[in-house]
Amino acid sequence: MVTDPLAELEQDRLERLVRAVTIRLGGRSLHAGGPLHDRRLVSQGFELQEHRRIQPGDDPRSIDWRASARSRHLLVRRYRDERAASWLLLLDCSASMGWPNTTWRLAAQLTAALSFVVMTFGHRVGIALFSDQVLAAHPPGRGQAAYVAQRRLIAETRPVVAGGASRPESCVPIIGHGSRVVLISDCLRQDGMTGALARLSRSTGALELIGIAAAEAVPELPESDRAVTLVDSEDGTRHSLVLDGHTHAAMLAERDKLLTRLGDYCRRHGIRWTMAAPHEPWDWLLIRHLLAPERRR
Amino acid sequence: MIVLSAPQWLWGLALIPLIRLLHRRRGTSRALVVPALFLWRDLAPTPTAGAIQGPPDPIWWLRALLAGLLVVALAGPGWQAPASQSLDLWIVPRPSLFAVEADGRARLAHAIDAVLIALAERGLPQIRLRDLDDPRRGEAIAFADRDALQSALMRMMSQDKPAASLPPPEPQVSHWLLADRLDTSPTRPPRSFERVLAVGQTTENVGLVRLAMRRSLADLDRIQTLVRVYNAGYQPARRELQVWLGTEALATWRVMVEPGNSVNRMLTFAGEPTGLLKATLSPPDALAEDDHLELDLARIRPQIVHLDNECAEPVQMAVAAHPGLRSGARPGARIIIDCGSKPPIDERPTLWMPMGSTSGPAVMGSWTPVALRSHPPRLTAPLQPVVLPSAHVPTTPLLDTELGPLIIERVNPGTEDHWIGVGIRFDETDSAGGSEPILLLDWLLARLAGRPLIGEPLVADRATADLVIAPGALPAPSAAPISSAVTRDLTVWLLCLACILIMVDAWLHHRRRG
Repeated sequence: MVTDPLAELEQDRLERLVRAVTIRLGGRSLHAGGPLHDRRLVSQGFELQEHRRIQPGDDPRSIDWRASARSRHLLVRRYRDERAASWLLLLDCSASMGWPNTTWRLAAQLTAALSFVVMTFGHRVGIALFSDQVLAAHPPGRGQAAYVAQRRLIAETRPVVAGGASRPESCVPIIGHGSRVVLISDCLRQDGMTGALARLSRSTGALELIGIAAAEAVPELPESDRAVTLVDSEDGTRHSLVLDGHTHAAMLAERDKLLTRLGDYCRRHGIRWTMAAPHEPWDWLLIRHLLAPERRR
Repeated sequence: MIVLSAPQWLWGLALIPLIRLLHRRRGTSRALVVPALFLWRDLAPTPTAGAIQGPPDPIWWLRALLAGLLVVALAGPGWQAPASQSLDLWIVPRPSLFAVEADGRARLAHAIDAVLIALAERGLPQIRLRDLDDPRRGEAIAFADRDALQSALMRMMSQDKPAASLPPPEPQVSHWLLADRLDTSPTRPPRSFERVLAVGQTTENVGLVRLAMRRSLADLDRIQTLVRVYNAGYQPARRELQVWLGTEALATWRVMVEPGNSVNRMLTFAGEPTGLLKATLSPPDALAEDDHLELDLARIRPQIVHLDNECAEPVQMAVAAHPGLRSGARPGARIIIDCGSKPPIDERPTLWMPMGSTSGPAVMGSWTPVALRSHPPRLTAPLQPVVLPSAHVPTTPLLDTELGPLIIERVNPGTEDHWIGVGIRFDETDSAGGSEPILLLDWLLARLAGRPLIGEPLVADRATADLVIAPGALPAPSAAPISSAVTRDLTVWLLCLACILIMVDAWLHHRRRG
């Protein structure tokens, strides 16, 4: 039976989430501390953000002579961008996202809720659904109409039944210049998704990651049925073993090592990342992710 | 008792351990989809393609029971109502069972051995011997051991066989046949036998089939004898034939008898007919019982008749002239001729000839068509009747006239009360001087004696078929036990039970898969 994964995404709960994020930000920008989406457009703002030494190509009209006199160096003024930033939410639709289905439900909830929150803060948000290629995309937009369209697209999408590896780098052609990209995935790749993150980092203004660790991916089996043939949900390869507590624990340890490597990579490269369990509430997860300190690259 | 029509299918039960083995090698069928197989790939795989060795799945008991039920159903099980622990052993009581086989043992002993071995295999100690020609004649044996079987068989073979007191044959009882040969008989109903016990190997036998003697009609003081020897075997046989009178050998012949033929020898000798006349064959062969025959010469001795002095002279003359009669004293007489006026009261056979006055003119009599044992003489002269006093007992007229019965007979069945009353004055009959009174007296006295007084040969016969000891054709045993008619098929019940187990197995499988 097909159920709407966004059924729990009530409007008042979304608005409470926005208020909570606004209060916790204390007037800061949603992407405060992170790189701006387009360095060349900074000078067109009105709110002073910083001074820095003049570089080739800087407009001489932006030289702050008084500040330069105090510092004995030519300094130019930099202004906060008053225009909205452009966000792109990449939602993994590979087959592994459907095992178990709570993974997909949480991923869809996070994507739709994040779109709502970011649009509420005045930014433009686009979404791209991918597996080994871009399955569907909605261009960046803002306002109620854009949110409703994106929510409908998410609600109507399901993970592919078979095949379809997780290749977020396939979305690079549709990523706008300087866009902030949020990748929502289970990160189940043998390289721990680090290759895709490296590729995306080169094409985006900022990159964030929300990973969903499917802790309940292995069912409890009776003792008489523990000899099983495991089938990969994406490539269909098979592997026969005895599925007991020992093998389950070994698999979890392997997955934890994978996630540890992923976390180390994100820390080294200044990628804001959050790991979630499928049973966690989507709103708490978003608060935890949006308010996490953004690291410098 | 459970019986199986195709028990070879039970070998299929040997596959049940294979079911247990297959349930140890399990796990290949359940596929589990996981989101990332590479997390598992470094774990040790099972040695074979998805199958592992381990304790068998407990459901193997259910499937083994299911397989066992199907195998047993294929074997055609049936429930046979417990038959009575008795067996009808049909025998053909032929003298050949007394034949001696080559090993020196009687054929009857071999038959008893065969029966005891067969009974031991079947485990039925209770049997009923039945005569094949008379199913109700036989004997029940509670515990068939050698002595009991031998005694019962000897009684069946003897002259005074057991009474026909057995219940009719029952279809659910096993029927066996014990015989050396079975000659066809139109009066014998066809029967099926679950088992046929054939006995006998010896074939050669020569025996006496007839010993006959009579007084020589030419010389009543001499006795003529006839002896017949028959060869019932397959080879010519030479035997020594002897005729004995008491312990004295009257004659000895060496006879050569071809198979299937007989040889007659005749002998005439003079002498007082006393003692036993015997014929013997020597040396003895396989069946010694048919190597001798004997006759009692006393049966041709003259009958002692006590003649009343009041009897008419023609009667006295007739008795004196008759070679088969001899006058004697009343105590030792076999027949009494009473010429008194009262009906006889003696318990011996009596010819009552009252010497009363004539009751009218001579008449011609006519014999009453009663059951006469022999034809009376034809009377050609008129008879002078005498009024017979009332006997006050029921009588039967033998010779009747328009004036009334002239000869009456009193027979009291079961007793010696037998007399014949004659109302004829022989001394006043026109034929008194002729032969008719003698012939009439001979007929009447022979009727009282129960046999002809003279001229009848005494014969001891033996059927030639009784001399045949060669084993012959016997019916083939029936393919299926006779008692299988009461077997109830259990296959349907087993299949129903197997269907229930299949449904239980499917339910358990569905429940496991969730």
